[in-house]
Parts: sequence; C-alpha cells; structure tokens
Amino acid sequence: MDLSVSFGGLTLKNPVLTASGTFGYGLEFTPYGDLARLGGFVVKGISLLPREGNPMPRIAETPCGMLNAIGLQNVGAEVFLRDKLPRLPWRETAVVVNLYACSAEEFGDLAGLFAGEEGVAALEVNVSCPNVREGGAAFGADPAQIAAVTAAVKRRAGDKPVIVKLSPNVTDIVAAGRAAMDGGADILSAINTLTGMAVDVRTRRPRLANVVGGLSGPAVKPVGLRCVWQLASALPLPVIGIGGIASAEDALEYVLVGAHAVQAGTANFSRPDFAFRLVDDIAALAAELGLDSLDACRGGLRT
Amino acid sequence: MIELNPYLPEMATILETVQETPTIKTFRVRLDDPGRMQAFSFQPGQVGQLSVFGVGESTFVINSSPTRMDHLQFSVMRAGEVTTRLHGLAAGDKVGVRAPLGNHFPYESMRGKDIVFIGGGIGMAPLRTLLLFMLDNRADYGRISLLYGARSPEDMAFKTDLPEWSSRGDMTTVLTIDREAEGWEHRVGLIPNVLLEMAPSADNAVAVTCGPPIMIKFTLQALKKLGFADEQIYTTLEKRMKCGVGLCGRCNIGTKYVCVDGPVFSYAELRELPNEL
Repeated sequence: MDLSVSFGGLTLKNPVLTASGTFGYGLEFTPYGDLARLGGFVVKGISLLPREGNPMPRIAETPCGMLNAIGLQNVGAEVFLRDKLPRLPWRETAVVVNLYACSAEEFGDLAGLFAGEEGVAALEVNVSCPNVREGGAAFGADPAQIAAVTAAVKRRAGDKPVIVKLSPNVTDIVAAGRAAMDGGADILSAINTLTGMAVDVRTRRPRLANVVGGLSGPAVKPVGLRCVWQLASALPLPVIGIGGIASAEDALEYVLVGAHAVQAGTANFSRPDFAFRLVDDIAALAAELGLDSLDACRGGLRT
Repeated sequence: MIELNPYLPEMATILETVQETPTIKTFRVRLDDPGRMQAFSFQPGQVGQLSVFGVGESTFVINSSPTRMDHLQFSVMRAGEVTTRLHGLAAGDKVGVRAPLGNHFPYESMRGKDIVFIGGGIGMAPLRTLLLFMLDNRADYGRISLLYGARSPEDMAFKTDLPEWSSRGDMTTVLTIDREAEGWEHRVGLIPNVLLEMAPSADNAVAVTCGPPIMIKFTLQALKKLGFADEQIYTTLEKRMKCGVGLCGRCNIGTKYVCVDGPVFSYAELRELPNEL
C-alpha cells in the first residue's frame, strides 16, 4: 500500500520520522538500516554555536520510560552544514532540522542559515525543551512567546515548512498550538518531553546532574495522544504525533486521533533499528486492518 | 530483514564460578550457540556486558585471554544491584552476554618492549587478559613484571594464577598488601611505594595500570618519578558504559565515548580530556 503522506508543504514517502535528540545526526544509525527507507528524520537540536550540554549523569531510566537532561549538546549550525548534512541522503528522505535558540532573534538567525539549503526539508522549532535553564521552558509555556518565536523563524525560513514542536508542560496545549499558528507555523508536532525528576534514596541525590529532565517513552504516550487529539480537533494545522511510540499500533493510534505523521524517539534507544522496522510494521498493520492509505483512518476516532 | 539489534544479549551458561575474595567472584561462561562460541573472537582489553535477566546489565572486562578460548571469564566485584544478583548465580545458570565491545590494549605497538603491569584490587582483572596473552606470545615481548596489590591476603584475587606467575622464570611477580598479616610471605606496603622500590626502567617500556582512583593517582606520580612519559602509560576505564555502541551518550568524557573510543586510554590521551574522571 501507499504509505506516502503530504501535509503542510511537506511530502514524506511514509509517515515515520525519528524524533530530535534520539537519532543523532542520522549518520550514527547507518549501521542499523537504510536511512532512505524512513519518511524522514529530525536531527538533534542545532544551535548557532556548539554546545557542550549538561554535566553527567544526563540519562536515568524510569518505569516505561526515561529521563534525559542532555542539555542540547550539539556541534553548532556551521559544523552541521559543513560536515553532517552533505553526508545525509537528503535526496531520498526528508531531513528536518530541529532549531534551538535562546531568543527570538537568535531563532530567526538560525532559520536564515538553513533557508537556502536544498538538503533541508523543513525546520522544527524547539520552543519546549525543558532542559536548558536559560531558555526552552519559558518560550513553550507562554503563547505570546511561541507566536513571536514562530514568526521570527517563519520570516527567515524561505520556502521551508516550519514545524513548531509543542511542550506538554502547559495548562492548555491548544492555546500554545494556536499561538504557533498565529505566528505562521505550517505544522505542529507534539509532544516534547514532560518535565520530571528521579531520586536515589540511598545517596539522596537526584539521578540527573541537572536535577530535572524530560520524561519520554511509553509512559508518556497517553499524554501525547491526548494532546494530539486536542490539537487536531481544535486547529486546522496538520500535526505530527510524538510520544512513546514503540509499535505500529502506537503509531496508528496517533493517526486515529488526527496525526499526519509520527516521530519515533525513545524506542530508538531500545533497538536502534526500531524506526526502520516501524515502516514495515505500519504497512503490515494497515494491510491487516484493510486500509488503503493512512488518509482513510486519519482522525477516524469513534467517540 | 536483517536482525541487527546490538542491545540484544546472547544467551550464555555459567560453567564455573570462583569466589576469589569476599567481594570478587569470577564467572567462566560459554555462549549457548556453539557456532557463535566457535566464531567468537576478541582482543585483550575488550569488555562485555553481562546481564541478569529482569535485573539489568553491567560492564566487565573479558579477563580470559583470546589465546585460550574454551570459555570467557569475567570477574565481578559486588557493588550494586546487578553485581549482587550476579554473585547469587552458580554453574548452570543463564546470563546474557553482549561482547566484545570497545577498544583493546595496543599489544601490537607494545611488541619488543618491557611491560610493567601494576594492578590494585579488582583492577587486576583487565591486566590479566593482557598478561596471559603476552605469556602465550612470550617471544614478542621484553621483560614482563607484575606488581599486584590488595588490602589484605584475603582480598587477593586470582589465587590460582598467582603461584604460576610467581614461579615462572620469564616474568617478575611482586605481590603486596597494605598492612602486615599473619602468614603473608610477600611485600607489605602501598603499591606506589613498592613500585618505587622495584624501580622498573622506563627505557623502551610500557606501564599498564588499573585500580582504584586513589591508587592510580599515586601510581602515576611514582611512574613519573621513574621516568615514564604519559605516552608510555595505559589504563582502562569501565565506568558509566550503557549501550556499548556509542549511541546512548551515557559514558562520554568530553568528545570521547568510553565504550567505543575506550575503555583503554593512554595517559597522553586522557590528559586531553576534561577532568571528569
């Protein structure tokens, strides 16, 4: 069956993307599958300047999930464009660049660096990363700031579709999504991680050096489904579903609540060939359910 | 589709265990799949992840030698959840193995040189694999000396190896404990002090050391006094490793991943890294 999807100015050969920060720059996963088989992948958050990230430990396991506080370690936009992007199979699959910055101006400057790059299919704006104390959380929690950041990126993004990745750490995710729409977003993606923490009772220390981190994995899937369902029901923008996808069933659940595509994240840590297999598994499940295309079931939740 | 999941352990069976010390237990294991065991190869210094099903995984050096492949040997110091559960296992029990992982001691570039092994406590385990490998390729190396120290006689591991190492004419073995103990016929004194007394020549020599951080700190100072340059000193780090294949970002020190760029480093290499050890 045809798994291709087209939405918000983005066309993907199948609905499987990998989530930012779980798939490196893509190159790290070439031993485990053919990147060109994916609908696309979102590279780890890129900032204007390289970042070293947070002190160790930066990852802690939790029941059905994990906490991370990597702190957006990355090589910076210049090195990414020079050393990474040319080695990625961007003619065969969509390379989405996830942008991280600490101010609207910086977000705009960053978007400007990628606007003319033919290897970049879309820009995903990280307004919600809760890990970095000086930025992320504040943007994602305030609709006015989401709108400002989105507008700053959109102005400089050229013809690249702009995806705004929303934080679930808000009272009203639809308000956040509407703010992104008002700022000119083409697509929404949801959800980013939920802030959390873990404690070692014997050492009395937090399990993350940063104390707090972002919770991901199967534990957060119900929250992700709820957010995507609310967004897709209330707003005309296409939504990419993220959160705890560990099987084809999980992916189709997101499609049923209204998602046009999905991002697989934490499952890549359980098995690095997860996303590649998910493409085949979705096709098999869709066939089993008698679906001709994903459009046939998108938003088809019976309530 | 190609099955390619590096996180999936291979089933293995414990053939034999040795209670080395009150806190160190050695496990000799074989992979259950005879073909996989037959094809298994590793280099001295490489590590493996041992898993206790339902509990977790932990990293240990393969301390047997690739020249002696009837089993794979791991020595485990009881420290946390996984190691405590491992200590409860016996011959016939199943474990998971993911190996080999990481880099290895540069035994090729050590050919023709004098080798000084300095091991403290459980730090003797990673030295054992390289020592056995060199003894099995004896003609390739110059003088071989071993300084192995533990807190007390009962904390000395590898007691079945020690008589052979002590009696061989083609290596020098010095054993030391921290404090006098009844019946102890070897040296008494801290490893760095005994090393200074042994005074191995740094000329055309390589030192390979592993042990607790405080021992390493003073052993490095002693090696410096003896004229060893950072490029002549190797150690192995086994801390914080998780995925073992350079993906999870759990074990990096600066830009280096202990699991793929290590665990073996020269002090010249470690000097370049942020001080996060």
